[in-house]
Amino acid sequence: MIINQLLPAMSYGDAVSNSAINMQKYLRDSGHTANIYAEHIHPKLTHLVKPASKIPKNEAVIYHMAIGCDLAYEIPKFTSKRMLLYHNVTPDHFFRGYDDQSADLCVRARKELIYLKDYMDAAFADSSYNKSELDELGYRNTAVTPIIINFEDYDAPVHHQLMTRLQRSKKGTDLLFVGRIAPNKKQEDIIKTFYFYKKYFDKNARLFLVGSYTRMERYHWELKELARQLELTDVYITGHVPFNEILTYYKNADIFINMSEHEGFCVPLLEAMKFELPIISFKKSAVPETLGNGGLLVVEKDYKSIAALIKVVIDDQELKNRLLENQKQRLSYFSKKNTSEIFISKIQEILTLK
Amino acid sequence: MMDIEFNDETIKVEDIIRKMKTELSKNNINEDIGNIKLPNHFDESDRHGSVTPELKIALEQLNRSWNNSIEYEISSHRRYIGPMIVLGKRVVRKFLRWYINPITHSQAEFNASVTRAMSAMVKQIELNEKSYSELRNEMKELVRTNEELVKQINKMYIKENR
Repeated sequence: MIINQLLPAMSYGDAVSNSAINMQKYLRDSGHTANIYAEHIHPKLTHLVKPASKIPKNEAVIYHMAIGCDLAYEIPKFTSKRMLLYHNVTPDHFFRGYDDQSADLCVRARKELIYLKDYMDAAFADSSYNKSELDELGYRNTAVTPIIINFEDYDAPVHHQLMTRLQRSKKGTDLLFVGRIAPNKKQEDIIKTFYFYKKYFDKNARLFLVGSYTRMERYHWELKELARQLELTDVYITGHVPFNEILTYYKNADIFINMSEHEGFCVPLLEAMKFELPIISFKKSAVPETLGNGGLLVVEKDYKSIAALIKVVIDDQELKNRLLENQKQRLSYFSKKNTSEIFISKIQEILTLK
Repeated sequence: MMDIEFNDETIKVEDIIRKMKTELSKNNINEDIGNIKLPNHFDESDRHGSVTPELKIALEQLNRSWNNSIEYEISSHRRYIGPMIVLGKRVVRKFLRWYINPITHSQAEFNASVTRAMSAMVKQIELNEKSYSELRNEMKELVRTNEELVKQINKMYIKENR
């Protein structure tokens, strides 16, 4: 059977795009013909992805939704099975005043999500958190299909020079967060936590915030100003970096801190688990589900207490080992074998439905 | 003391919290920065002023994209001959630098000028709006004063003509 995927955008290195590529592979391995179509295609992916205008409308389609796009209104024209894969839409209020265009796209996406409910034969979601939104809207045949991740990509070599530089200059604890510089990810709360940690627990500590700030230049400026106001040194906001540098920051770090207030899944948590970094995270949205029994969850943003918690984790080897053991167990659930089997079995169920 | 969650029966959350309290009391941390807000680069008037959202978005895009860098990462998706392709592309780029760099430099300068001009225009629009607002208020005040004066003149006229 032919099962195509349709996306608003295929970006290079993006979790959703990578997941689509993996899904294509497993669909083909299961004997289906599978292609990917997108409205916007990154130049490095043109050999893998075709323009959305070319998608045949008489074949089964999986529509990936994370942002508003006119493609949503094409879905009713598809005459075979229609499936939604929902990656969650960030509430627009996080982006207002920073990137109003993106905020408007988020509002559009929410409307499109409501519109599509009557046209989808099934709706999949990366997490139960995302699935619950679909259930509330009245979608039929909903199921959780976790993102399929190529963990072997993370075994690639690090950036040798950067690693040498980081290790030579390392004198204390290196805190890390990986993710787009965006208001919903609340990097300002990580900076405030770091303030207490550096001032009272480890004056040689460093904070690395690794992620692109494209379209969020205003928020990036505000974070830098906040660090300046708090007279903080050793806060490094890297911007977009190549994949091997991301690996380097993970390998160098001692602990992963997340304060995000909205995540549909949060792939960096799995990455941190892969690199055996103990995780301390704010308990919100899909984060507790992704972490499972791994990591430590904080329910309140009491910055000095979180800083004290970081100190406890860094110093207490037994606690750290338990954390890492639990994280390793949790990570195994997201193995490519397991997640691809879940995905294919859900697809097969829908294809057999009348 | 805030709550934490750790789903592992071998280690008690209470022990972790106790250790946290010890660390906090050792350092005697009294300050609180919870009320420190993110520094706001722009006034509220920037968000609710006379500049249309479309113009703001266009300006943001200009600021984001004016400086096109030619030093982008070269890569290849090909598994075996990829490194050779990357090397070849790098060599070609190096040999063409003498020709391409002056052109891209001029383009970047032009882009920067346009972006600066747009930013200045938007700023001017906002200043104009502020002036108009002040003038409108002044005018309202003058109209009100005028109405008062007319009333008084009418009263005096009526009194004189009784």
